[in-house]
Formats: sequence, structure tokens, C-alpha cells
Amino acid sequence: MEDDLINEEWTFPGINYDKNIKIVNVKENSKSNNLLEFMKSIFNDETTRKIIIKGSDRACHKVVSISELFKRTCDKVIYQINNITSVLENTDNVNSENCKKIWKRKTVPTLWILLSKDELEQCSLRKIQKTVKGNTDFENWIMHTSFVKNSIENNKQKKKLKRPIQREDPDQVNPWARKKKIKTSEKK
Amino acid sequence: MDIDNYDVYRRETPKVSIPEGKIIYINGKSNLMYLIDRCMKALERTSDSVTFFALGAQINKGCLVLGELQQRYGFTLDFDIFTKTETMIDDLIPYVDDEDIKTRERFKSAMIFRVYRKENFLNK
Repeated sequence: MEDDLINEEWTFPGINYDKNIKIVNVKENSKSNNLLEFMKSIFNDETTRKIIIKGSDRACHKVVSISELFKRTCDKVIYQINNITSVLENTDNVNSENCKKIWKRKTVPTLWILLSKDELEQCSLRKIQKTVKGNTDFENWIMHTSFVKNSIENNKQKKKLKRPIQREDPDQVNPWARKKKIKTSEKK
Repeated sequence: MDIDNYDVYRRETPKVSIPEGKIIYINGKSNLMYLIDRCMKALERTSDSVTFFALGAQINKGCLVLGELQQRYGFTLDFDIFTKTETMIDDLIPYVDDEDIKTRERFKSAMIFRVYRKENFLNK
């Protein structure tokens, strides 16, 4: 299996690596109930502060589902960080007719979700999402990750508008006004 | 709930309005390379950030997009990932005329991620 061959270590921005954090490995055909019960038993222990859920390739959506289900079940405030790592994998297919090997390149993404009871202070606000009894503030996250303050357009200096043309005599006819078009039939 | 005597009509997921940046919705028919090209074009030309929405099984495709972007442009691009639960509403229309139309709610997991340039690589 692909998951057995690829051994990746988790990396989250602002969090030091800790061997003691339990990692729940989600496969494509994992049973959600079993994993949820396992996570509950771990998380109810007071010494456990963090859990990592991991899944790669086709199990990514199941990782998200399990984390959402767990957050809905848990009564406490949970802080979450998400990260994705990717590995390039070369697969060789032996074409029996031509006896040639065809190398195919494939990207295998791995989704990591860190759930923490404690507040994560070292991470930037745009990376963290806070969940209270299964409710997550999406608009707050959008505000934090907003680029309006830092956008390039705001840094550009606005062009100054030129002053309107002032004439000495206000009754003077505008010399640049469009001249009335005379039709060809009227030219006689 | 027993659905044997009902036709199930699924309502469309309401879309969120975000004031700035490009928004791309990933569905089952989206091509992977097309999504990546669309993202890169938006970043090169018009937008400072690109926001992807992926729902349900399309989270896998969203992760693939992120993986590819990381492989190719991981040095210059950065990603923010958000996960949440979407409420889906189905209308159950009965075969028998006597009964009323019912409504049921389902939950679906959704992933929203934002792709933007790192601060060192912004053109100023």
C-alpha cells in the first residue's frame, strides 16, 4: 500500500515537534465510529493535550469528516491547525505488448489536522481556527486572512486629479466643444 | 428516515460572498490542471489571493490541487486551510398525493483554502 511506503513527519508552522502526540492514521476504508471512539478515549484523558489526524490521497475527505464529527461531539473549546504535505511518487507500468516501462508521475497529498485543547499562541491567526461546541466562525477567519490592508493596490499612490480649466470670461463659448455635424444633403 | 415513498430533491448549497480575491468552486467535473492554471493566472494578473471551496468528496481533489501547487510553487506560495460543516437541505416529495412535502437536513464536511504569495515575493 502507498501509505505504508510513505513515512512523513508532521510539520505545523509555530509548533515544535513532539513524539508524544498521538497520530490517528485514516485510511480510505477506515470505519469512522472506531476512530471516533478511539479519539474520545484519548482526548478525555487530562494528560493528552493534542491529537493529530492524518490521511493521504483518497482519505483526505474522511480526515475532514472525522475532525468535524469529533469537534461536534466534544464539549470543550478546540483549536485547530491544518496542513498539507505532498510527495512525488513514480509508478512504473509494464506494458505487456511492447515490453516497455512507462513511468508515471503522481502527487500524493497528505492532510494533517492538529486538534488542541490549549490555545496556540505561537501560530499566526490565519492558520488557527477556533471551535466552540462544533460551531466555527468562518467570517472571522476570512477577516483574519483578508488582504485588504496589505493589498498592493492600497500601497499605490492615487493619481492626483488635475484642476478644472478656468476661463477669464465665463460666458465665453467653449472652444473645444464638439462642432455640430452638417449633413451632406444640407450642404448647398 | 424512510425514503422509499419519496422523491429526493437536493437544494443547491448557498455560496458565500467574499469581498476580495478570486473564488474557485471545485466540483466533480473540474479538471485538475485547469484548476491550477486558473489559480496561477488569477495570481499573476488580477488577484492577491485565490480562495478554493471544496465540498464532500471533492476535498480529495482540493487536496490534490494543494499538493500540486506545493510541489511546483511551494517556495513562493503559502496556504491557509479551513474546515467546516455545511448543512444540506433535501426536499422529500411523496408519491402519494395525500401526504405533505417534507424537509430533511444533512451535514457535509467542507474545506476552504486560500492561496497567496508569501510576503517576500510580493511585487511592490
